[in-house]
Amino acid sequence: MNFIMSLVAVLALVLTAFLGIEAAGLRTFFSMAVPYVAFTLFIAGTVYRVLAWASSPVPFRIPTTAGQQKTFPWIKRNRFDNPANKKEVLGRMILEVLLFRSLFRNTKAEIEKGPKLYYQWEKWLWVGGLALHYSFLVILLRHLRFFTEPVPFFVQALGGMDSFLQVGLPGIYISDSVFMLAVIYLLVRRLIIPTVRYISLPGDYFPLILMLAIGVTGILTRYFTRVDLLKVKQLALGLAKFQSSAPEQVGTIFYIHLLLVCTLIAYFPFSKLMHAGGIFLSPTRNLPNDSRIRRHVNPWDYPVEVQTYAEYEERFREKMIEAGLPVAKEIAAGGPAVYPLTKK
Amino acid sequence: MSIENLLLPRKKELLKSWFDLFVRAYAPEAAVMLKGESNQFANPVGQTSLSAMADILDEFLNECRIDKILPPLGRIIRIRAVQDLAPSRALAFIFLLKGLVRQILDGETAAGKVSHADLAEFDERVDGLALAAMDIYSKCRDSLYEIRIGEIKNRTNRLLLKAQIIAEVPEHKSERHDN
Amino acid sequence: MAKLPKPSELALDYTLPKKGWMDAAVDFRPGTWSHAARAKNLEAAGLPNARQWSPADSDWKLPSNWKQIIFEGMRERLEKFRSLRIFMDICVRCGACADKCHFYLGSGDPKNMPVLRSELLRSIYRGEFTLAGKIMGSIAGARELTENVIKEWFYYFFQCTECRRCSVFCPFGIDTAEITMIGRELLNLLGLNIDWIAGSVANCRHTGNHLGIQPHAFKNMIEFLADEIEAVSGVRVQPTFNRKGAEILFITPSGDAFADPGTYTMMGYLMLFHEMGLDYTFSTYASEGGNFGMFTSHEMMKRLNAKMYAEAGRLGVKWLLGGECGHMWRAVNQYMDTMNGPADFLEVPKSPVTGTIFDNAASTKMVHIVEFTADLIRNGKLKLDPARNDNLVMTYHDSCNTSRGMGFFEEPRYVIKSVCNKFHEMPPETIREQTFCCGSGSGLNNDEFIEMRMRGGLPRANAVRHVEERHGVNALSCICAIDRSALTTLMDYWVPDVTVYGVHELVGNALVMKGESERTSDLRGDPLPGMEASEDENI
Repeated sequence: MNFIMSLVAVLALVLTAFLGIEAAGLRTFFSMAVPYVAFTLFIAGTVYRVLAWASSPVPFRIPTTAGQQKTFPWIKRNRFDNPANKKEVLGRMILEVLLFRSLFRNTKAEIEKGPKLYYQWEKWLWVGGLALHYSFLVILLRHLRFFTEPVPFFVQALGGMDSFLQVGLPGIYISDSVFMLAVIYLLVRRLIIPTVRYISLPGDYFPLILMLAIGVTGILTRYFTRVDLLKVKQLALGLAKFQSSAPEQVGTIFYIHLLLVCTLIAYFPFSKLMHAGGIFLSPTRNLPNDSRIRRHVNPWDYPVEVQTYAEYEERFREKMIEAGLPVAKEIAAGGPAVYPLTKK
Repeated sequence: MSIENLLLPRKKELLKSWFDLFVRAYAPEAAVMLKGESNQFANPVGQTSLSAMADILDEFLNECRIDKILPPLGRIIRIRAVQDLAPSRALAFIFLLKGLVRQILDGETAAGKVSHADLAEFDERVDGLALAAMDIYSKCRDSLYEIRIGEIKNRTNRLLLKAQIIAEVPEHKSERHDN
Repeated sequence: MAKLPKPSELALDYTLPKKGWMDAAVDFRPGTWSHAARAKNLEAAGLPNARQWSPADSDWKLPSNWKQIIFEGMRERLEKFRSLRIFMDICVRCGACADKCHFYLGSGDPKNMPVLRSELLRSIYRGEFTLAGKIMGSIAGARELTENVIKEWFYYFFQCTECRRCSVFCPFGIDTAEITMIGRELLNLLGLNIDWIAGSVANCRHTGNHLGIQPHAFKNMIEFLADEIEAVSGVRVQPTFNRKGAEILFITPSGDAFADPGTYTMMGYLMLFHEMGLDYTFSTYASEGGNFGMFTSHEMMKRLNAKMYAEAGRLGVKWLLGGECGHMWRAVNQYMDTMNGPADFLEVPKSPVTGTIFDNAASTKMVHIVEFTADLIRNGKLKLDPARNDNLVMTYHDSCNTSRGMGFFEEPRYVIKSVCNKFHEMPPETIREQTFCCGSGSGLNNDEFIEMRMRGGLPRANAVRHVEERHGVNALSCICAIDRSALTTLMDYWVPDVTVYGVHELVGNALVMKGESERTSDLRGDPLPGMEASEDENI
């Protein structure tokens, strides 16, 4: 159900672009207005979300420790899984952000089953996630060649490396294939593992289907319909310099691709895709486990009502004296005072 | 040829169908986990049940010695006894063996290799297995209550030796304390 | 009239219809929930909406403006805790956490998957606090706040032991323990707590410990344990109480004073302190190391924890020493200094025996007893005879809180291996940072919850059984008071031949004390290895 809903939404987007160009001829709207709106939403939304996160303080130091803490010099500690200072936290964050370390932990050790050693590799999710993110990054960087003139060296080099397996002409990008495979894997996984399907919301399917559609239309523009890339570059450069005009004679498929990309960009800050930013602020990962060493201050700390020793002794003085426990005050005439049980 | 001899070479098939049926008693989301994960530590319920069922079948189709069957039967029933199931539900999976065996031996029965008497005899042994499971189930429940009592005793064991030393929070805030 | 069901129907007919999780209402069957907090305990703990009620009732007697209370409570906490705000936003539902929860593994209930436990709260957050949720409703993963949702929260937030195992595997570090803690705070705004927690909090607040033990009784009990030590070793230990000017204030969970087998661990502490000639004191006012406030709200945690520093200041000690306890140590390590510090009136802890300075406790000024003992052993200050524990084939259970809220792995192993000759680890995916919970943490170690605890503890018990079968392990050690009691129960059910020990009980057994008589029995009064025969001869 959630899957169908998301699929319909993406198809509706495709149809919108198709009809908008083919029937209504809204080229300027789709090539100028939509990208600017999407980009504005992306920037504004991202800033808003990050500010919202940052506006809430971190009252307590609550890192999840996954390795030996710092104690004696003769006990080997684990700097990355249990950082004791900011430098080590940086190491932990790099491992998390660049290598998805926690997800990598998601592994099942070998066990013996009968006489045979049984081994199970449980890292497909890690591989799939890593593949998706890195291929996406490469594709994104490659697209810089549309927005820059001259094209920076590293973008050219990247494009060259990416297509070094010269299959057909133009060369097939490895990143494209990896991206498509990763998206399909993550989508299929969501659909066929019942626990994961059970927890999936429309917001989980939608971005995957959207990215799938972006991939398909992107590949179509490059390999099959042969969109005039020079025109596309003119448009992109113009958009970047705020002085563009809608190009003629660029295939409709390009406009579909563009609208889908714009949707993704605009949707990004308002969805779970913002996990990209959240990981940097996650208090269980970005803090050192050093609150016994250095004091962490809670900015909204306030005094609370506590039973004081005086109140305690007031309540138990007689029994304490009887038991030979030291007391601060001897019993006054007239018997023990009454201890107030609740706040006045 | 006895039923056991016919079943022995097809033990794997029998175990698989039995376990499939067993797992279907759980919610679909749970069933997937129980079946999917073959690491005994990541999936204790599923793997303990599967290995216990395998051990039970091994012995059940061979010599059927009670001292060899009770331990694996105990492993699986001990889990069932704390899974929020009525006793009938907890033990029903054992009776499924009857239907499964008929299914598996369908061809042989039609060919006359398996007689009604054979089947009746097999059924009776399944009933025996179920009765043994019932004993274990009830023992598990008893032990659960004993453990509960033991825990409460442990918790305040030292206190029981000395009376009158717990201060209760009084019933009403207006009530005066002590003495 | 319904027909008698056939076995096949009983075995195969799963009664719950398959629905999306958002509209499923909770069925409160006995054994799956804990008793409601009694009015007098809520009142004594200073918690709102004190009244008589039960989770099995259809009317939970919520205040008339309960919705407003929850929404305001959420808003306040979103503004106060970045953790909450981030965890509400960034989950991608990848499912990495799904099979990491012991309650899910043991019960199969899909809402015990950490991701769904959090979604229970997240769905309400989206509906009220995000634009997408307000506009698109359930399409954006939002749902309406109803009484059924509150009931569901109560059921599942009191079915999480805050063990943080899922948090280790989450690619974004989302910590279900944090969500459960805040979920419980919200529930407490409506007077929804369980009695096992509220009662302990009330007692702790007014008497100084969970059981409500009065000062004279606390002293009696420790002295009673001193008698037992004398009977076993011939040495008389001399603990002091509320003594001003002592160098060290020692605080341990009250379970060590009153509950078996924690009492044997207490005997171990007393023997060690005596042997080292430590200048220390107990306090009857701060006689609880555990902190059930942590299972209620941050504020309550602070209230109960405050007694530690307050008493240290009043008595004028130099530093604090803490006993073997799980959540106490999460509170001490991650909260105490922030909540009730700075403890600038204390000194950086220095072992009076070895001279070691505990830099890692430079700010809180509180040292873990196992750190302290490890340092003693390392410096050769203890005369140990590990052969006295030779009847034990030992394994070690890492407590959730000291593992994932502290990273305390090597010190206890070092001590255990110094006092026990036979030691075997459980499989790697069940120990250290991946340790499985005892199933009874976070205030859920109550009697009426026992079946759920047995289910939740199965992954742990299963690993113990593995080493029992493979290496003949018959003893399980731990450094947590709830573990000592809950694992005993768990082992009685799943692996009956395994006995549970505190680490310092083992130290007490192995410790060769000056002037001791020949030991024939361990601290439990059971004959030492090699002494069985002489016992028989006496008879």
